[in-house]
Amino acid sequence: MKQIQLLLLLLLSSSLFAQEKFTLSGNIKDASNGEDLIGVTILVKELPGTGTVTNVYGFYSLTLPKGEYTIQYSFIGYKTIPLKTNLIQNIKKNIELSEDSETLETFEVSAIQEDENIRSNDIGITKVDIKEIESIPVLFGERDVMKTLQLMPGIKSGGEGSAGFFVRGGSSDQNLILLDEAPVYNASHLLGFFSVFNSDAIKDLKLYKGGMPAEYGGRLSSVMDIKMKDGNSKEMEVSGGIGLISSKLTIEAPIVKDKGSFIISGRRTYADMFLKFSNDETQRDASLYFYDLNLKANYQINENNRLFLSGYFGRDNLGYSDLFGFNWGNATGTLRWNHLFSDKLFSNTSFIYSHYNYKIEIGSAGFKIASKIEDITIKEDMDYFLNDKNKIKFGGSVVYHTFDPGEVSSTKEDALLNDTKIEDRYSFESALYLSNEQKFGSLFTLTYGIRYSNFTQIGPGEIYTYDKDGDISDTTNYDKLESVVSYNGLEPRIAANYSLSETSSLKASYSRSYQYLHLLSNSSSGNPTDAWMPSSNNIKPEIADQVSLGYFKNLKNNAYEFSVETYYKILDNTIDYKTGAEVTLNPTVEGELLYGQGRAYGIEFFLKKKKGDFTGWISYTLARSENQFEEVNKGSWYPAKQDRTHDVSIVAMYALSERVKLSSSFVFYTGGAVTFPTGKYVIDNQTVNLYSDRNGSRMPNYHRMDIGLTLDNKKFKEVKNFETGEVNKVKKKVESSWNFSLYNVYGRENAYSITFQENEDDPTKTEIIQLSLFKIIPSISYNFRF
Amino acid sequence: MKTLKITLIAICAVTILTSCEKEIDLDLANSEQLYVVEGIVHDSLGDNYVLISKTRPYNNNNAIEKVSNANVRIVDNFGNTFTLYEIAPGHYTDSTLQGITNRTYNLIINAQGETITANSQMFPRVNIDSLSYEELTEAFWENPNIPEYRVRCHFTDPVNTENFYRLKAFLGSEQEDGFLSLNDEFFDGSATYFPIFESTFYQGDSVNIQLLSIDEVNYRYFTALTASQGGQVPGNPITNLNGADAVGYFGAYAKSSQNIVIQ
Repeated sequence: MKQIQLLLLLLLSSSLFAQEKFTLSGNIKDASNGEDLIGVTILVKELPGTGTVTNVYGFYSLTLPKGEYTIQYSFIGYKTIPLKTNLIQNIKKNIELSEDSETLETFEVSAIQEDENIRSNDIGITKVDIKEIESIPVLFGERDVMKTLQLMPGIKSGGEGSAGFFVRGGSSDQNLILLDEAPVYNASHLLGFFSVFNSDAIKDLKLYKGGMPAEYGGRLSSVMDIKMKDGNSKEMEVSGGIGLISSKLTIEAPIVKDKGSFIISGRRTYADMFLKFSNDETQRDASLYFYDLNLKANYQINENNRLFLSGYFGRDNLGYSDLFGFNWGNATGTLRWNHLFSDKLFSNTSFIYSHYNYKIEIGSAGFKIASKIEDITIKEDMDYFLNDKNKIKFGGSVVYHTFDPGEVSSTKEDALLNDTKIEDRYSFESALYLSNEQKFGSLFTLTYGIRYSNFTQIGPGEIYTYDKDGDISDTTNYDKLESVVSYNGLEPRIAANYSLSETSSLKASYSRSYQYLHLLSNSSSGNPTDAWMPSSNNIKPEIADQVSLGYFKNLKNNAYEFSVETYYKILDNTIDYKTGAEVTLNPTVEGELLYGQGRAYGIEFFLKKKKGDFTGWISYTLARSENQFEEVNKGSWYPAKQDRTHDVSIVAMYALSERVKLSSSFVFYTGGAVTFPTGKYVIDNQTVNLYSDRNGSRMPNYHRMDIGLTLDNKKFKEVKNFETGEVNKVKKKVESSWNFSLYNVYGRENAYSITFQENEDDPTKTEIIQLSLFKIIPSISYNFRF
Repeated sequence: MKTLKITLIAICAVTILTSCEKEIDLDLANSEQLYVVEGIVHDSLGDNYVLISKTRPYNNNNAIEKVSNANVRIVDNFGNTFTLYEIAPGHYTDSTLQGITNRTYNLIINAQGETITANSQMFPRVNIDSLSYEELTEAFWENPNIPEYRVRCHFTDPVNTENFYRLKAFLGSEQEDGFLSLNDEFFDGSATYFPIFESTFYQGDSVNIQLLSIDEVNYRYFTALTASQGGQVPGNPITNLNGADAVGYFGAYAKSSQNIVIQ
């Protein structure tokens, strides 16, 4: 409560010095396709240090004292527009920025737009330039925003065959992944070789790894906020790609020109089609593919109202004739309503649906298994552009969660199992937040806010209580909507930015967050069958406190960008498992859990070259992530499975000519902490492993280098004018490019798994077998746009 | 077990394209040597054994160190004491001991100056109704030219009691690999069958199946053993052995067994 009072006081104090002021507001779009531009910098030339940026809907609002100003609208890769304005009344000004074909701009202008990393009060934020990822080499030539993110400091890959990632020592279930505000519960396709995000349909991606703003909550480590494209509102555009194992197609067009548009983007893999040609009859019956579909439409009803409808649907299928079938996927839908209450108060109301499920059908054994999680959310977010010094955000949300942990049913008459269902679980998760970004002079910016969250487990259901041994000690029946248990969390969030000079700044942040959902996973890589469990009378919410400090510096006229960030995190109510725990389809799984604490700390270095023919970056993280459980390793601190001491990524891109681009990336990381046997013994004539400490060993270090080449086909064709004999360059209707890549150039055999087993020829002996998934993988793809 | 198999199929499918397996050398930490105890009292006369040995470092493929000259006793809750004698290095048994339903058996071992104790209750026997077999058709990586068979064990679970079982399969006198243990959560009180998942048999094989009624501690030990070996949450399963540092189990098992010949 005290914190809220303090916050209000701060807000009030800043508005005491009122004088006659007017507001300049509007929307900023891309001139070529009408897409809203997010994060466009708006600066007032006459008032250094005064300005704002557009929000995620391209809206901006700037309140200034009456007067004549030159306003500069600038955005990386776009031409800067200076606008002279006489602010004697409130002005609405919509702007369209056009892409800058010239790479070099005058220094004065570029200095403003290219040092956003120094000026913004964003600490611990990683942004991915969707255009940049096109040239980075990837597995099977399938561009992937999530794989590109893992080349940034502090964001670590869960390993080959895992779409899971670890942010600053947190486990993979501590990342909130939002697609147009809808949570995506399983972001992987084909057991993690691809992410569910089709990069052709994505406009913007931000990942918060520290100093999480108050409008986000529910996860401890990070928020990955992904915005889909709105669709071209100027003209119809078709783009696509044809690759070795997948193809994709995107169509976007105006509904009513400059008022509304839609986009449809689809993708399907066809690796299994090659199996159809197999000589082996049994392989022909196997199916293995995924598809996904992104849809979005938006319509500007009038100046103050705009509607957005977006959806995602994706599914993986894995099967073998009618004997075995396994499919899983996400479906999300978001309906949003933007409303301007005034030129200073922007509101967005969202209705969100999210669904994840999996189904397994084992025809031969005569049963099937099904499980799902479903969310229905109502959310309200307000941006209040109070004045040129204060930008206030507030809002709230309510989520209704339904969990169906698992259901086994028989498909044959003489099935060996009775039909069984683990009871559904229901809960409400709600939150309120208030934050303010306040400028103190031109050097210091402070963002402070608070989030209040509540999680209530409700009936109907039979709720178990467990004793110390994990056995059920009590069973209580609850009615529909009856509250079982309720948790409250108060989450302060503070971030500060102090400019040391024109080209350097110091940033610091503190945040506390609560997590009420927990992913129970029996493997480190993550399976589609991993189940989300809500906090309950047995499982308390996980809590994290993080402090971080960063130094940001731009060199040589913003050609280079350098940063170093350090963090320390304390985690409470961390979950681990009892030895030999049965995690999947276990109705009493809560009895198999252990609760302890964690800590994670590290330092991240990042150096990027942004200009010239040769661009790229180096990122290095030195970190540690540890857990402590009374019941594990005699209560001493031990490395979490996502603990990675060293993590290095190097990305280099070189433009050989206007049409040919070479790229290369290299990654190295310390092998994850695992429990390997230290000894062995015999039970029932079979060799059994003897273990000492949990996570006491390491997987071998991982390293790999990839190279790629992008060849843009000619963008212009020469047309001879027969009357004059002149040769003119005419822009071709179809733009296209070829992409060639080699994954794992030097054929490093990285360990996917290590198995300890009896020697087949001599069972009294044991051997250690390493499985590697990929040696060198070449790929080729063709992309087009017209 | 199910999940493990599903994951395996899935990973196999994904890696049809490219993958490679090789034997590697790993530098593993050495743990201290512990006692290994396996003890079973069956409900038939003289059908019991206690095996005592020591653990080995993982990379050591030398012979197992047996523990001889131990004093091994089994005492039931009626005060009857049986002293087991060593018939082979580290192998102890008693020909007069026969497990009786509902009695609790205590194991006391004195070896090399250390003491290990454990206890287990004998639960009522559940008889095998019959055995059957089916031809395997599902696994696509196996050779389709030689028919392979899986044996199923049919039995009737007692109504309204919590029951725990172990299933052992023998081909001739050789015990098949696997630690199949189950509880009746999914089939309480009904006639059911359970396939011996981990073993495949061929025409002409003579297969012996044992259905053992066991206590919950033994059930937990063997499910945890399977889960921890399968790599889910690796660690040493909780044992019912107390005293000196030891791994293994002691159980009083009521045994029902039958034979079947695959034709």
